[in-house]
Amino acid sequence: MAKKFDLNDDSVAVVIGSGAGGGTLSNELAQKGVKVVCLEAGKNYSPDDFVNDEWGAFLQTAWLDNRTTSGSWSIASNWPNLPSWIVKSVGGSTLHWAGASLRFQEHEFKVRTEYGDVAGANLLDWPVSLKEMEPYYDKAEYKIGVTRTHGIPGLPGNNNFKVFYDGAKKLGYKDVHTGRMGINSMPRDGRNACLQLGFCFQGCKSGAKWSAGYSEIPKAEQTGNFELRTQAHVIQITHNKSGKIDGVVYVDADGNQQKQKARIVAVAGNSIETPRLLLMSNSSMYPDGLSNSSGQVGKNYMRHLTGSVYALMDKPVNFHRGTTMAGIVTDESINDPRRGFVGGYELETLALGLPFMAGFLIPGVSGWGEKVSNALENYDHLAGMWIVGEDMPQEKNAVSLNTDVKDQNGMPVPNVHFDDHDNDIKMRKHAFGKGTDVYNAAGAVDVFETPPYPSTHNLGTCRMSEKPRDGVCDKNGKSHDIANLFISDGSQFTTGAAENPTLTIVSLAIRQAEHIAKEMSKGTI
Amino acid sequence: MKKIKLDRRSFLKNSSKISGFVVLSGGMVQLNAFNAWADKKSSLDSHVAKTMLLVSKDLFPGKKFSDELYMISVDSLDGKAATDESLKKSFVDGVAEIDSAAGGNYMKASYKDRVAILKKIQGNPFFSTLRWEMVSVFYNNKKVWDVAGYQGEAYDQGGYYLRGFQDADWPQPPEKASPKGWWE
Ligand SMILES: Cc1cc2nc3c(=O)[nH]c(=O)nc-3n(C[C@H](O)[C@H](O)[C@H](O)COP(=O)(O)OP(=O)(O)OC[C@H]3O[C@@H](n4cnc5c(N)ncnc54)[C@H](O)[C@@H]3O)c2cc1C
Ligand code: SF4
Repeated sequence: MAKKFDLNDDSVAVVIGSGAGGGTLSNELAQKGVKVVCLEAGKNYSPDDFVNDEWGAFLQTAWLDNRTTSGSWSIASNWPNLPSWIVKSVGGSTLHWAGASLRFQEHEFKVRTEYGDVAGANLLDWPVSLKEMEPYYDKAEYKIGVTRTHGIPGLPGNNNFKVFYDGAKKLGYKDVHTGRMGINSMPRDGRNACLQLGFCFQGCKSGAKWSAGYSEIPKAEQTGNFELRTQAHVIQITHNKSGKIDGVVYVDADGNQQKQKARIVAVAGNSIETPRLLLMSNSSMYPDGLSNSSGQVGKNYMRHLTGSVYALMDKPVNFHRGTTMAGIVTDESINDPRRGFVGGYELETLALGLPFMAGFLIPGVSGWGEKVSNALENYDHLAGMWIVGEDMPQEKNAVSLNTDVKDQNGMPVPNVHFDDHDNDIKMRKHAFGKGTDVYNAAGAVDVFETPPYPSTHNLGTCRMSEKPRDGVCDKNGKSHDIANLFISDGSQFTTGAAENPTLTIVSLAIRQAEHIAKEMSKGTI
Repeated sequence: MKKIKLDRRSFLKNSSKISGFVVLSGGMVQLNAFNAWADKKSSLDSHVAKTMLLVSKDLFPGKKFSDELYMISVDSLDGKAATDESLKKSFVDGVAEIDSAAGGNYMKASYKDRVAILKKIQGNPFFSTLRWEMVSVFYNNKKVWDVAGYQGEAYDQGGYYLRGFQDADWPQPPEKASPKGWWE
């Protein structure tokens, strides 16, 4: 029942992006009877199209439009034109995500209160609390089918988890298990159970892993209220004389510009494209870009404090077998300033195939020599984990327009500037130490502390705030400046917390859909 | 698959034994095959090809990888240079530069000296091209995977749930931490 809406139909809600935020919002709105046009820059790939090949899958679906970087982060020298690893395809980055689905903790919604004034950090409490979010977390977990919630069993741990568990327990960690994952441990919601393929980052061919692309979009289509337009790259959001949003301009598959009228617009292009689009949509009425009276659009970019610890073990591990992310230690996610930093981090197992391992074990030009080759040559002896920690929002860490460099549509590319905060550096050092201890306890021969990869968690560039002067949108993701403009992805995050973000993005989208449908029926938007 | 047990001592001991080409000390037959390979390049001359092979090996020195495996990377670059004059020139110039840094012939320098030379050119275009070819072509090759123990594509074989995803020789965690699979 795929529907087609007219370009001049100004009664539709236009959703930009079909990932965790946009895909969920589209489906939720369509279920409530709202007419939705979802514009997605990428193509539509189904599980049959996915390839069990690391570089092949990356080139198939990653967002490879040119971007630039600046700042002292290691990414700027190791991957100067690839600040982030996200996906351009129906379903967005949920095609490549690993599935870790954790709720934020209560204190992580009010870090300004909890952590106090941290020099150089632009900390702010969220305008929502865990209590307000709980019912939506519940719905999101049910939708995604998160293991260890709603009576859904946890997944069996793979080889990488066995090593991790052994070391973590020897170190005295208490909360160590196979995690809360958006991966079917049993067949559910018309999708298969996990076959332990080990290519979660490449698109799950068995469909066991939740993805907005094949979990949300088809359900939206069944309502008859929804149209998906693929290869529709939005380059501008437009407004009328009174300043209200009236539509968007996009470039279609043939390179032609189209204008779609809209009653409301919700932006969910992930935290680099979302602020970029608001900045590119500047006009004489909004010279600094849309919804930017606070000057905060693009600012406070967060990417989670990340890093990996890989270990060469004394016996074969074969960590490529089974789920890419197979287990977690949550003990370090508390806020305990006695460790020398505020906030906390999670340790999560991670395995890469040999092709990615070669590029990522020691990224950049220094990735060569005996140490790295010895590890690669003994690939089957490797174990690995990833660190996800709360990084500090800083105003200078920002997505801005680089007007010197243009993309394929002639538009200025986004520049992503990032400097680690002192708190980030201390936390990463602590986490590297703990990760190393885990593997040494489990019998490591050699250990690698691997610096961050291109950001998979991009957050905070249009943050929600109680007061309009502190952020870009309110607690419902509605622009502080423009009543019918919404932010619907991880850009809304006021702060990043220690947990992987997608469950929270999906929960916020479910909550936002409720708000939008209600306001639309009241006629306020 | 071979099961070797690594330990810190033997790893450190082994790592000081890395030499140049194995084939050069491996007798006439291998040497002939090696020369024949180097002579047969579509765009690179024999000296340039051999030197690039040694650079590739010095960048990622393997004890289990044969010299023939490293040819994967040089053959791939040779193919690219066949249709790209400036790439070919960058190889010729790059080899000339490291030859002169080695006092005439990179291949005749000691491993230690060669590594010092590579450190000096780290990040230059010649270095980066050779390093990236190793990363993206050599380590992306099935023959290399077989030696290193990476199995790759799994879907056609039904995944790993019945093929050793839990066979590592560490204790099986309790069921609460790692529940049974759906098939159990
Ligand atoms: C390898 C990997 C592993 C991950 N693992 C986890 C995990 O285990 N747990 C977790 O919580 N998170 C994980 N993530 C992060 C997770 O994927 C993201 O947080 C989430 O998908 C972000 O949702 P989003 O809606 O903001 O953006 P996306 O899901 O990235 O969707 C954005 C969509 O918008 C489209 N778009 C952008 N600009 C435009 C435009 N101008 N016009 C039209 N369309 C546009 C894009 O093509 C894309 O499809 C992972 C990510 C990666 C890459
Ligand atoms: S390991 Fe499971 S979730 Fe991951 S790709 Fe395979 S079947 Fe899908």
